Amino acid sequence: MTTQLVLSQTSEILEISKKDIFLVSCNHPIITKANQNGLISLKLREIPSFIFLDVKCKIQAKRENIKLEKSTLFKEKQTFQHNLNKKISGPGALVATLSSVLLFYTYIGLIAS
Amino acid sequence: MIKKISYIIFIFIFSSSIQAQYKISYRLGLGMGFTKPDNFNLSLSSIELSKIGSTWFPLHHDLSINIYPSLRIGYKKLSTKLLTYNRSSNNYILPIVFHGINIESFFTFRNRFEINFGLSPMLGSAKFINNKLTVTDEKLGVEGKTTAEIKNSTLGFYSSIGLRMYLMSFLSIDSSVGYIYAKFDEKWKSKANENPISGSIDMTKPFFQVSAVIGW
Repeated sequence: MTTQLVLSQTSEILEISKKDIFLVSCNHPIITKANQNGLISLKLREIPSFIFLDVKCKIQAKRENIKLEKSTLFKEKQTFQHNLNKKISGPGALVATLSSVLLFYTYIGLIAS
Repeated sequence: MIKKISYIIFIFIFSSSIQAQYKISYRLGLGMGFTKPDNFNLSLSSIELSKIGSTWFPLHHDLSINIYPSLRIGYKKLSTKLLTYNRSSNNYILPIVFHGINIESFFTFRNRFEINFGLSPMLGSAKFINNKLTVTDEKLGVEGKTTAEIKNSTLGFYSSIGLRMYLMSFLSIDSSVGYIYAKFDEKWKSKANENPISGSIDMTKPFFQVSAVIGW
């Protein structure tokens, strides 16, 4: 075995071990689920674990000098929620109407008096 | 009663299978409202205590969850129990608390904005307290603290229209204009059968609030 080959094998092993350490939090099933199906797919009880693992993943990546791709999960979720709530319908419309009518007449009465 | 109903609603929400659409949010802020305490102030004047002001600045917080697109429901509390209570003389203070269910519908526009409409049936309580009294046992020479309080309660209703701006996906600022419909009547209760205070406080006035919201 030449010296060059030994060196390349050692660096490969180092790369693998780096990835192994990294995988612990960044490839956790909850993180994977969020990456595949979006943050909306997380259940209520999974959210604290996700936040913890997401922070831990970033810390580990920084420690190992590995550059992570910028996550668009939060932006995607915001866009999803924004589009979902562009229109009021069903019971939401009833609440909006009641509230508006009530306030309109109250303030008109207040101004008039 | 309202406490029990809100408890049942929360149990229902958290145990139901609507989690795929939830968005949970917590709002914390400061409100400004007005009161008409004229009758109550007359009672205070008769026992040589100074008048309380006609403005109140409650700390406001609510925890809500989306149960339907464009509709969230939660628990809301307005309170001057901490720091912002109205003061009279001789260490007497008037903390007012309103809490109840908050139903809010909303729609989003222009990427970062949301308009919301709120309705909240609420239970209100007011206490006129002096918690800086001391009593001394002369035989043992021991001194202890005690509280003098009279209280009143009422049912109220709060309605509002607000504007929310999303700064980040989990952080936004919110302001709203609303109206509180509530009145504390002249029957103030105390442990003693009679007390010299009998005036009402009318809370039916405009209400404004500014808050920060964190949500998921």
